[in-house]
Amino acid sequence: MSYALTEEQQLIQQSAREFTQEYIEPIASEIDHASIHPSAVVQLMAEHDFLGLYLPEEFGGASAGYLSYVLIIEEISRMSGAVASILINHASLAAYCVNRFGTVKQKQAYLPALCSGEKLGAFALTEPGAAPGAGMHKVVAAKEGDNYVLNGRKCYIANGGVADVYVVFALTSPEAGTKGMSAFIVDGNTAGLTVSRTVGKMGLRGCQSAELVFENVIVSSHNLLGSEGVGMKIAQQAQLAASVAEGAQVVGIAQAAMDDAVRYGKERIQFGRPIAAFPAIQTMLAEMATNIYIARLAVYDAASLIERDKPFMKEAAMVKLFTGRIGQSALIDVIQIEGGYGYSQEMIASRFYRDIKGAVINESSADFPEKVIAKDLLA
Amino acid sequence: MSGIWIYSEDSVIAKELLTAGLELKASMGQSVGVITLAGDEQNAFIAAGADKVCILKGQNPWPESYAGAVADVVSKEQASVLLVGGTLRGKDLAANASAALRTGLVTDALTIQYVNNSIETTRLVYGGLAIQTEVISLPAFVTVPPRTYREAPAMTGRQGEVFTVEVDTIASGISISNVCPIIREGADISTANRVVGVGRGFAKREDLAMAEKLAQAIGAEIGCTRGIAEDSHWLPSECYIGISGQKVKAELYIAAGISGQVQHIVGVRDSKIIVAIDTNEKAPIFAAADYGIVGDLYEVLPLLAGAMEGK
Amino acid sequence: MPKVLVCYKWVLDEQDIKINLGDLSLDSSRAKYKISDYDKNAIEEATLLIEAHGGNVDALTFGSDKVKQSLKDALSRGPGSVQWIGDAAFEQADAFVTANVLAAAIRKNGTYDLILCGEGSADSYNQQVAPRLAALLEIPAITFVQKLCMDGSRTIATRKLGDCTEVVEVEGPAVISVLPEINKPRIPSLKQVMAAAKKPSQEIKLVELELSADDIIPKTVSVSVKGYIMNRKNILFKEASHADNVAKLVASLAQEGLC
Repeated sequence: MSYALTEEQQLIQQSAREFTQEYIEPIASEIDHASIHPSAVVQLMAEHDFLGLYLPEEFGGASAGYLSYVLIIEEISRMSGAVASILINHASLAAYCVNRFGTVKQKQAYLPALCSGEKLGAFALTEPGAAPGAGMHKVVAAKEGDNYVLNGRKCYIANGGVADVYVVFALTSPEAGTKGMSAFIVDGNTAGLTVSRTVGKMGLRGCQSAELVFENVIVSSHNLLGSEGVGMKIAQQAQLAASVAEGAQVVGIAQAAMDDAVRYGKERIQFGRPIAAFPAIQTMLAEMATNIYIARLAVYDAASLIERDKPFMKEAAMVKLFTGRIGQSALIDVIQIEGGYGYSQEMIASRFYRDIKGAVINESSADFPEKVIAKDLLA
Repeated sequence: MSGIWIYSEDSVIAKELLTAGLELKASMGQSVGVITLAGDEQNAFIAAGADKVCILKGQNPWPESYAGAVADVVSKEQASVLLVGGTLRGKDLAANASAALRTGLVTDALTIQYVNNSIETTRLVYGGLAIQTEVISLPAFVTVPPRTYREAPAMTGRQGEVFTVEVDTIASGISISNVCPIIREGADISTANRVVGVGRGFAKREDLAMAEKLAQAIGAEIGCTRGIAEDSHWLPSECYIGISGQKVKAELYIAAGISGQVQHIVGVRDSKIIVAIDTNEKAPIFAAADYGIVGDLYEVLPLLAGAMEGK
Repeated sequence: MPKVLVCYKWVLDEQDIKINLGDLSLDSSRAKYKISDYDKNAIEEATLLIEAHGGNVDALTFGSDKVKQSLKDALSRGPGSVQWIGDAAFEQADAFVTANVLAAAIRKNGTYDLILCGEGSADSYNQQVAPRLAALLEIPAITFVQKLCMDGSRTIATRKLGDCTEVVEVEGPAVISVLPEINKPRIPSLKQVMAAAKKPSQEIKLVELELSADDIIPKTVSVSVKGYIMNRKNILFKEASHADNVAKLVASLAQEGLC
């Protein structure tokens, strides 16, 4: 790795690797098979300061920076894309919104528990018929005295049902469309908030996704993030910050899948020699290694922009766009190289294939990254 | 310098070392002596080939406290070689005596030869991955694992010199209590003829019953990997096979659900036939095995136990 | 409150070492270094002791110039400071030299209530340094310890010696070597990893230890290291039907005269 990571970042990376080998590798395929939220591992990640790694020390975090944080996402993803998704939804989406847009009081009230693992966070934006960034939202928040009353349904909410704190997006001025959207911090145990069902998924199984129902959920106006009407802006920025972490997730999964394909290619003998000796296989491997290399540099660079508080939206969108392409193509090639072996259900390559698809589609409805990049270019 | 000396707190091991000592005697042309805490074994050592026997006589029952006395004898006799039985007590004593006399010490030698006026040994390094050949300048101290050599057979009519050294070993400030033999639940797997080893492929402790059933069918003892004994605590640590655990020298070793890290393989590779059962065809255990079945031990073990039963 | 020293060795990770099949030489060009596994148990035990009794843990290591890479790793696992001797003499050092160097460094620092080591190192596994250190420092060695307690100035250790256990009590300073079963070393939290950067580390030059030339000339010299290759039959049965596989295995074992 030639990207100039500091010694501290290298040690964090190494420690995370030790952690993932000890605690995540042994359960990775089990949580995929059984689709169960690995609460014990989440607790261990909390004890090892993963949950608040980049968040400020004064609110219980480790202040290690966003680059250190994406390094651990990459390490976790090499073992389990699902566990990485749990952390991304917690740290890059829910905690990010509170830290970036919350008042000191809101941060004091929520961040220490989110950093310590006492509470797990989730991000509730998507609704039936309303894609992220595309409008058509229907969950409403009606002001009543000092409170807002939320009603409606959210779907595909990662960490839904296992989270303790939700950042929920709801229309405070329904007539204004997405410009009338606001963001709220909602405790998971608030009366009227229920999980109607959990959703079975193709990949990232173990990161539970659920449908949430809001039925006259009363939320104090103290829990409004920012001001009324800035919800969409908050959501977009958080999603782009999460895109960088998802880029690291794709890089981690692709790297692990490639390592598996390299091992297989060296061992699998056909026509008297290892298949890795065939030019067609070498071309695929060379291309995926190059793509992973470039993607990793882009992820680290975008993360360092976030860390240094520089504008990062365009770069984050580029990471999303690029890692999306190369991640999926890498896994198609890995399965091609491994043939029937990689395609079998119990093999790691097929899990990586399903997981990377999930990592790629999160936070990226249709042309969302392209729109962000073009808007910046044409501004 | 003259004389090959042997020490072990265990007289059986001392007799094994006599075999090594007599080989060196043939190449070095030096006498062989035994330093012992067991005065009643003096004639047995002489019959087995010792030219001299030095009996250490002291009040302290703790073998490690005789390190200084062993060093004194070795020094006074101007020994060129000291072979020490490689029990843990022996290793402790050998290192202590070696530090006192500023000599080299090789731990767990597999072979010992006299070459070009030095002692040349081989031993395992990197967890058993490699064999290192070392040359020790004389006087050379070497510890040898138990059962590396056969006991030297007794011969009739041998004569030897016996002398006794009174040892004052009132060690300051140390007291020993609660010496407690480790009760083995089964036979000692290091001497068992057949062993079934279990590893991480077993999901629950109760599932070990399948391995026990197979062991019963073939008359084997149960051993395990370090993880099963020391992390999961499913089996007592005496069952753990590996470089820092037991060494199995069985005619048949069956590894079930063991991936086969080098540290484990070192503990079984002196076995005659190794059979491996694991789901992962790429697991290193298959490279160390004579026969392997790639498959789920939950399916394979009951079938194998059934097939072996009554054979 | 006890003052504890823990010694560790920075070793090549044997999992990364490959054997060149031609001449059986070892290829460690892709091998990473690690704190020797058994020494991690020693570091953990030292840390547990001071967590229970107060006091402090220092770490000490002797290695090549590469040993500097180990300092923050060691510090993240509990010790409050680390001293290191990085010298080319390490490349040829045997346990005789290593113990001489460590003992000289310890004497330079004054005294410790306890000095902890792993029972052996993951690479050479000589199991000598603890008893040698004790002999050189003229304090007792309690080796192969599976349980360790401190009670004031008394140390109570349970040793495990193959066929028995015994409890050893010692008054005053001692060198302890620990077995891997004594504890499960923690994986440091990321805050501990970051805090390690702020802990003090100090280099000791070999010349400062005023050892005689004889003290650093090894008594055992390595003449070759060759990969250990096993000749096994490597016959794999991997049909879909395990009944067939088992039948074939049983037939093979019958041929071997094993059933």
